[in-house]
Amino acid sequence: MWKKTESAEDSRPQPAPPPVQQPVAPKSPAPHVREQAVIGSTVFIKGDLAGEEDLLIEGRLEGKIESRRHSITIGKNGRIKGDIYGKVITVEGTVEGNLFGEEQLIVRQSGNVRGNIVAPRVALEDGSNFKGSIDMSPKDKPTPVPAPAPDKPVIVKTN
Amino acid sequence: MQRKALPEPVVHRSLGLQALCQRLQGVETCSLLELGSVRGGNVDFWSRFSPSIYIADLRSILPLPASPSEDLEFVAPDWDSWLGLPDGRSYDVILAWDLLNYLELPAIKSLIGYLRPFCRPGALFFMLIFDQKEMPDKITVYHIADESHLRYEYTGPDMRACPRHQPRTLAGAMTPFRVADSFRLRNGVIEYLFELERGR
Repeated sequence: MWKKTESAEDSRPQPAPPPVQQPVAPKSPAPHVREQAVIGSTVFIKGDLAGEEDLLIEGRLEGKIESRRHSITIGKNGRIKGDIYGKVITVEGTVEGNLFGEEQLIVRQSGNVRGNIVAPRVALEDGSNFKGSIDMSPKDKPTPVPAPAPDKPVIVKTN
Repeated sequence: MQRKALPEPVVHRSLGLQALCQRLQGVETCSLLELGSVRGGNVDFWSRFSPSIYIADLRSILPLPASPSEDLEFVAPDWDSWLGLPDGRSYDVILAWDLLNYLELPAIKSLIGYLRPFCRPGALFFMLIFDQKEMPDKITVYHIADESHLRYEYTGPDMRACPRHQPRTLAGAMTPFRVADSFRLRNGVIEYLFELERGR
């Protein structure tokens, strides 16, 4: 029927193409595992709590919680009496105090909050229990947190 | 005993909400007093105005018990302990939804008197008044669907007699607020946007 006319040049044996060099993917670093401290449901703390890692609190705490660069989750069993300062704060349990979220604040359906919320983004799930004020105005944002100290010393090149 | 089914949530047009949003256009930030209960979607909706919102949740104490006798003198409710408004804060917008249908006129008057010192000049007061023979026995929850629609979520199947506050008597009870806009909707609701007269 139809046959593609092949030129003489085409009919010459073609040298085998060089093997395609697959770009070697740089070895990815080991997946970053977020560290999270857990305060268990049988623990009762009276006093302030500060940390540099994510926090999950299932126990009772009377005092201030501060971890401004990390997430703080008050689990379903968590009962807090005091102010909370965090990057992203999630409430599934009960909080009696003010909540200061640097980025976001979430009150889940099971959450119960009596106090004021200050955060640029606030998500209150329907069914959650909240009485107090919500402040999302930029001028009233919580005080900015100083940048974290670098892990390695910074090298400054000078000529 | 036969249980009545809970009516399905319905979306209705809200010209009052639309008027309120138009008034708020261009504001950088505003302060809202929510007399109803907290609804996440509503908070999300208001977030475009970078607001501060105080949730007072009057639903938990309304309706107030009716006066046992007409001879008894009206005693003002203890709004201070019920609302617990923080000192030193004032509001640009008050959201009352349908709550005033569950208050008698003297109680509305005393509520407005209590709220007045917490209002900024030109403060807006948004409410829905039922204009039918009956209204839901329990206070309805309103979800903001968009700038001009509300989703009514009924919280009980029973109905009660509606006080049908008349525009003139309502306006009298709302002094020093004056009617800025009012819209009679097809669903038998009148939406009001009151505005605090400047200098009052």
